[in-house]
Amino acid sequence: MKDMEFHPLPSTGDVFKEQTRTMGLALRPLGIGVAIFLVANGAFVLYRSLVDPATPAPLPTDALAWMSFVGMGLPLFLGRGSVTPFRPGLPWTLPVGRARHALIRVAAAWIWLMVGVGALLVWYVGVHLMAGSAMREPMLYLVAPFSNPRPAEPGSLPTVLWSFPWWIWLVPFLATTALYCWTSALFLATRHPGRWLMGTLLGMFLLALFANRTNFIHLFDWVDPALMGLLEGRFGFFTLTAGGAVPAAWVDLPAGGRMPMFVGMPTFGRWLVASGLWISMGIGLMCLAALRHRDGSGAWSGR
Amino acid sequence: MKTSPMAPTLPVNLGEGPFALSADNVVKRYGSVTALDGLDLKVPFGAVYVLVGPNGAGKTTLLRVLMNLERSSDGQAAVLGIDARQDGPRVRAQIGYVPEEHSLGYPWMKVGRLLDLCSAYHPTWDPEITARLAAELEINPARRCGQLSKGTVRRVQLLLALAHRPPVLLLDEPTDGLDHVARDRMLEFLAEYLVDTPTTALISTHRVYEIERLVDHVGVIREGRLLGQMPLEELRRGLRRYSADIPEGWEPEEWEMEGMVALRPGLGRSIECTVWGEEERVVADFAVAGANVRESAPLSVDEAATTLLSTREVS
Repeated sequence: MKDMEFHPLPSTGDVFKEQTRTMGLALRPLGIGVAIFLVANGAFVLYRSLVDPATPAPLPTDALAWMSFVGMGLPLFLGRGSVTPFRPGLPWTLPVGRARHALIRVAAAWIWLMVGVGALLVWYVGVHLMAGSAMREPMLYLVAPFSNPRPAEPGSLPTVLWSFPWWIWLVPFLATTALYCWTSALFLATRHPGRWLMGTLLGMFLLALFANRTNFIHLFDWVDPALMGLLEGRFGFFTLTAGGAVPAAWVDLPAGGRMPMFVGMPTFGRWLVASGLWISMGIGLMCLAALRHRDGSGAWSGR
Repeated sequence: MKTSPMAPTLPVNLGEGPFALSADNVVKRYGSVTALDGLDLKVPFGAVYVLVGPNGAGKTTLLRVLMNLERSSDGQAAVLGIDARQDGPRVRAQIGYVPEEHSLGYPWMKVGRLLDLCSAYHPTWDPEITARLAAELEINPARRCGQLSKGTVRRVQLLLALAHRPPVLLLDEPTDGLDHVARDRMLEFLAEYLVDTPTTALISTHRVYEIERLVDHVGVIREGRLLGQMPLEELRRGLRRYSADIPEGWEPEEWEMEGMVALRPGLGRSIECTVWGEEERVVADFAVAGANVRESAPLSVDEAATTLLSTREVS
């Protein structure tokens, strides 16, 4: 072989920086659309506060949980007819391993996700504070144990005076990250993620229909506790998306009135562990899914 | 035109190398379809090698295997001695690639931005040649990739392939979609580039006549196998068209000659034959058969490719 200098490979940092720029540009139309919606919505909230200034509602922190779903929406937006590792395309002819490249692109888009969540939070708090809302005052909550999340007599549960802690504002960042990782894993793993999602939902619906029609309801005996554990468990989905700070139920008290009920106390440690678990699993699934896109795999053959 | 029943045995050995590109017994299967069937191909350093073959012969698949965009089912492909399967990214860093598809991947992106993107992936990116190419190929960096015509996409793809001054070029139908003026301009530029920059080029095309003046090696591929590969000089020397006068009562259809590729009756008692072999030997064979060779001439690469691909394969 003749003596020759090989062309060097790009550094991971350069590729990441470039993909961050590219993702920023790809997301610009979405950002503009969301900004228009938020400005319009903010104007509406402020207008209402001017028309009816006597009733400033407390800052609706429960809605923070919904922000997490932005993380699911981002891969849907980026995956629409654009560059995916399942389709032949210019990015995969560049001198970076395809699986690594796909993961770098996911990480680059995550940067913008965090910027978006931060901006959304600032807007959300800003608009509501300008409209006269204030942080919710400390409230009394019933606290059910994880071992019995639906007690027969919830009125006898212990109560606790609880106010929103500082870390509640961090919840949307980690929750969106976790959901983004899981959805990205789906997009990396399957050629038609939309079909998989719809197929799963349709399958569950048909199964439920079948169980209902045939009175075969005990089919779900094992599903129900597992599902509830996944949602309401100590490190479940609600802990991830709301820090466990969204009441599991509102309980009618024997003496009259209603009181919100937590399943377990929302704590920083519990939320952090739950976030860590969900994010780790999401990253693990993404890495597994990226194995489908090793260099030389069949994106070009359409098979 | 009457063709011979069998293709001649063409040379495939280009010596001991070293070779810039090599495929050794490369097999690529897609389920039950075999796209490459034990293909052996060698491209010497500095060569401009044209790969000709009919649709579905495996030309595009071979280029993708060399880039490690497709993984071979068997055999080994190497670029500058780097195993394509083992180190795809390093292989791709050495290659300027014009793909078969007319797509730049980012329809929303401006061409200038796409150039910036690709420059970040190639530390050897040359802004000077990029600017010069953009001007010469009339590429407007302010236009969006999705708004470009097929021909303009091809020009951008060529720019992307050349701008990092790669030691190897893999060009898959590089003139596809270009009008005559754009094609001539692009080929002129490519010729200049190949003179200025030490480059090995493997060009896959159906339109051999367009790139004939650039080429110095030829490979003929059919059904995933290489029929032959040789320097252009050897092709010109070995494959010639002979015009000969034949004696009365001579039946050309019954005549067999070693290396006969095509035979066509001419005016009166004359025939035109395309034969692979040393000219002296062929003329002597004609004489033995009682025919008199009036003239012989080499074929153009395009004619040679068409003629060779019209033959039937040795079973």
